[in-house]
Parts: sequence; structure tokens; C-alpha cells
Amino acid sequence: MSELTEWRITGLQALAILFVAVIAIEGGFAASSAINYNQFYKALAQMQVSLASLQVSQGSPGSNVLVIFSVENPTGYQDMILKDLAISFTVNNSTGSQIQGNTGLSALTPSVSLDPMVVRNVTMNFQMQNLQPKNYVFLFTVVIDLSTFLDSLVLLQSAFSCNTSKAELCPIISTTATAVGLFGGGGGGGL
Amino acid sequence: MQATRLQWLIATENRKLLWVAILWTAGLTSIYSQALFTRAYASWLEQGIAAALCFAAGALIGNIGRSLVVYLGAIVSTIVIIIFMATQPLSPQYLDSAGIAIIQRLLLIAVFREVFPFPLILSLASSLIGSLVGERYV
Repeated sequence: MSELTEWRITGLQALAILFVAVIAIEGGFAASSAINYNQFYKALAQMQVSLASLQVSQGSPGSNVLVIFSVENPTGYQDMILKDLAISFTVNNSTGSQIQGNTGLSALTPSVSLDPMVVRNVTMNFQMQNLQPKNYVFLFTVVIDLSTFLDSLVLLQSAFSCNTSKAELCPIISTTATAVGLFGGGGGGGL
Repeated sequence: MQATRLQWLIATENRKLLWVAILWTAGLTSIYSQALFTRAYASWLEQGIAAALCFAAGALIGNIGRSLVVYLGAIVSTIVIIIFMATQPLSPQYLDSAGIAIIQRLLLIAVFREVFPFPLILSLASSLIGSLVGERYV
């Protein structure tokens, strides 16, 4: 009989092997999650919103505004979802008059996953009265609600400022964290 | 040759205990950190795996007193390591100081909510039952 067939493992040794195997598998999953988590704050800070298209057409009774925003996560972070997008705007006419308004937070159905390096387009359509078809500058404030692994603790919201007379890329203004489900909820603050 | 090396690593009770403690900490850290970084709380499945791991560790130690001491060491080390892992990526490069303070507080709450009180009691009970089983049968 060879040495291999004579070799027997005891119950304790079998348990030890199982113990090490489970830890090795869990360790692999944990390492992957930790590497992804390391890019989370970078993804929050470097989220990019840009104005892809703006079209104003004369309708009745007002003007139809069709605006497309592109949202991109330029980092390697996964598991971030764009839940809602809202815009508020100010329109400066060449005559000096201003029109203000907002679309409110609108749920995207379904929510859009912000995968690394994938550009997501969000189209907003609204009507405006008293908008002259030419010589206007839109100042948009885009607010996006993000769904992250911290959803059970905090809601994250990022705001961006877009000016149609300037570059397409909208600089980030703020990221706000609002605590949920803790000590009765509420609270919050800028990041 | 390799079998001899392996035998040397676990030749004494203290060495065995040390290895179990290291692996136990690594296992609990893996389970709880993965849960934290994917949904900020441990699911029933993850709590079950943690309890099974504690049962196995207790059985491998096979002594209720030692199991208790090693368990306390492992759980404290796990909490310290997870807090370090969770707060280490926070950087003034990405968030301002107020934001860092808020996120740090939330992460601390998440870590303690993940471990206390039920998972702690469950894993402690599992390790003690495991050590009783280890004493009797293994």
C-alpha cells in the first residue's frame, strides 16, 4: 500500500482545512470589495456632468426646451447608481430680463448604473413662456441623487453648475450628505 | 519537507492558538468588511458564515476558556482593522473636513451596527458551543 492511501485526515484536520478554505474565499471577495471601496470618494469628487445638447423650439403657447445632460463616472468605482436628476435654471436674455424655474427631482425609471467610463445621457424636456428664440444664456444647476452602498445610512446628492455660454463640462458645486434612519433621521451637511 | 514545515508551524499549543487567532481575525475581517463595503450592514447569510467560522475556530481550539479569550481578541482586532480600512480612503483631496467628519461618524455607526449586538452574541455563542464540541468529540 502506498503512502498516499495510508494517509488519513482526522476530523480536526478536515475542519481546519475547511476553516482555511472558507477564509481564503471570503478574503478574495473582501479584497475585491476593499479595492472598489478605495475609489468611492474619488468617484464622488470626480463625477462629471456635461451639457450634451440644448435645443429650443418655438411651440404653442411657449417654447419647448430639450436639454440632454451626460453623466459619467471617470473612475474605476462600481456600484454607484444615478437615481434622480433635477435641474433648476436661470435664462438671461440679451434684453437683460431673466426667467427662472426648475423641473424638480424626477425619478429615472429605471435608475441608471454609473459604470466606470460609461457615459449616461439624461434627457429633460420642459416648456417655457416668454422665451425669445435667440440670444439667451441658460444657467443650469443640475442636482443628481446617487444610490450607493451607504443608502441605509446616508443619501448623497451632488450639484453641478452648467452655463451654456461656457465649456460643456459642468463643474461640481457641492456634494451633500443627508443622514437617514439614524437617531430619527434628518441632519446633513456639505462634503 | 513541506509536511515537516507545516508540522513545525503547529507543533505547540501556543503556535496552534496563534494561527487560529490570526485566521479567525482574517475571516471575521473579510466577512464584515465585504458586507460593509457592499451594503453597509451584514446580511443573515454573512452573519451565518461568521457564526460558522466562530464555531469551527472554537472546535479547533477545543477549550472554552481559551476560545473566549481568543474570540475577544479576534473581534476587537476585527473592529479596529475594519475601522482603519473604512476610514483610510477618506482624503482632503476628495472631501472637505466637514464632509470627512460626517462620513467618519457614519462609518463608525455602520461598523458598530454591523457587529453589535446580535452578531456579537451569535458569534460568541457559536465559538463557545464549538469549543464544547471540540473538547468532547475532536
